[in-house]
Amino acid sequence: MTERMRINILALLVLVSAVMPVQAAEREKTPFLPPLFRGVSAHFDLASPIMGLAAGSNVHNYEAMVDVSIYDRFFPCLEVGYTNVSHAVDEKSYKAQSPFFRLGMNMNLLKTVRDGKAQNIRNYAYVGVRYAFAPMTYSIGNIVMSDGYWGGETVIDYPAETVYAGWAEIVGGVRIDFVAGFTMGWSVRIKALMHTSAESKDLLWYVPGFGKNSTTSFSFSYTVGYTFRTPATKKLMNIDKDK
Amino acid sequence: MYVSMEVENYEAVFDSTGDNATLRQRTLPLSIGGVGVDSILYDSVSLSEFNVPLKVFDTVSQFRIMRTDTVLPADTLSVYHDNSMEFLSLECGCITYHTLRRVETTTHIIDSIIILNDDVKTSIESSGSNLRIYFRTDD
Repeated sequence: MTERMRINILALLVLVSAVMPVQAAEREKTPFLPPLFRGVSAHFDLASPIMGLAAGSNVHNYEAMVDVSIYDRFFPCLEVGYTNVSHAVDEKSYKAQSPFFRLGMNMNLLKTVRDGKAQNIRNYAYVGVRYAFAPMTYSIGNIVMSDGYWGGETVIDYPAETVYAGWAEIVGGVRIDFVAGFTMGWSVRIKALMHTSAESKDLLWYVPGFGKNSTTSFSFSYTVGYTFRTPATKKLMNIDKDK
Repeated sequence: MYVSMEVENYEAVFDSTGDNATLRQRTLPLSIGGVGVDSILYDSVSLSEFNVPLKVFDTVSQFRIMRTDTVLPADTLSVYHDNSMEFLSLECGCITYHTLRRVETTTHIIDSIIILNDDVKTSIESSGSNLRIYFRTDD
């Protein structure tokens, strides 16, 4: 992916995030109805340790996320995680560890206003965008270089260095409130590596939060957690229950 | 994936006036090996072009080039180059590329030599021959 393409994708993500609220209001042809702030959700990703192990037996990956509900339509979110990698290929070693952060927003695809009344959304499908960032420390060791014809051999090491990597994500998923605020959900996401301060992105065999080094990456998450709803939202839920 | 220097064999055939020359690629039976190395790269092979590896841990590589259809002594080709190491991947490790600085040769069978392309890369990345050797004509 060229630098120009990466800049275009980032600009597109910013534009989509800015335009989403306007398009949603226009589509419903009604203003958003209160309450504005519906609640906070906190989740832990059960699939991230498995996704890490799928990349390599010594890739340990943990993620959690929190989002707030705005009109049950927009969900600004913050995701944090930590990855520890210790991988070896033919006695060459790669080690990396760092936290990573994702900032973005999901948009509920269901209608939140029906017949002029605010709907209580408990289960929904969504799409979203993220910008993610990992300030990672990595090292590569025991790379043997030899001259097969002229002779000679040396061992090369890349000592620990702290660099950063940034990427963009497009997310699609489902969230279900299965009982009394306990929620679960799954999502799939496509990631595109945008920039890194490393001398060469080929040096980063695994980027915490992104995955194995490639221009694009794909991942799956399965989350469980709890949604704390505001009293106004609970009142809306009780109204729905009485119907 | 190997980095090797590409060399093409040429000769200059002058007309009767001696002022105009026709350059043409030449196929010659050659034996080529590195100076100081027992292993021969090409052992009496008919070649119009050939590839040779440059030293990874030194900046001067010398080759012995002999025409096997003549009793003339072999020539020694000295290639002076810079080396730059690049990391490919964890699976492939590192690779060394070369940049040619200058070449020198003795002139028993070789008339002259020029650098066409000073970037020595792999065959996949190569954009053409690196050196052209003008061999002395038979007459």
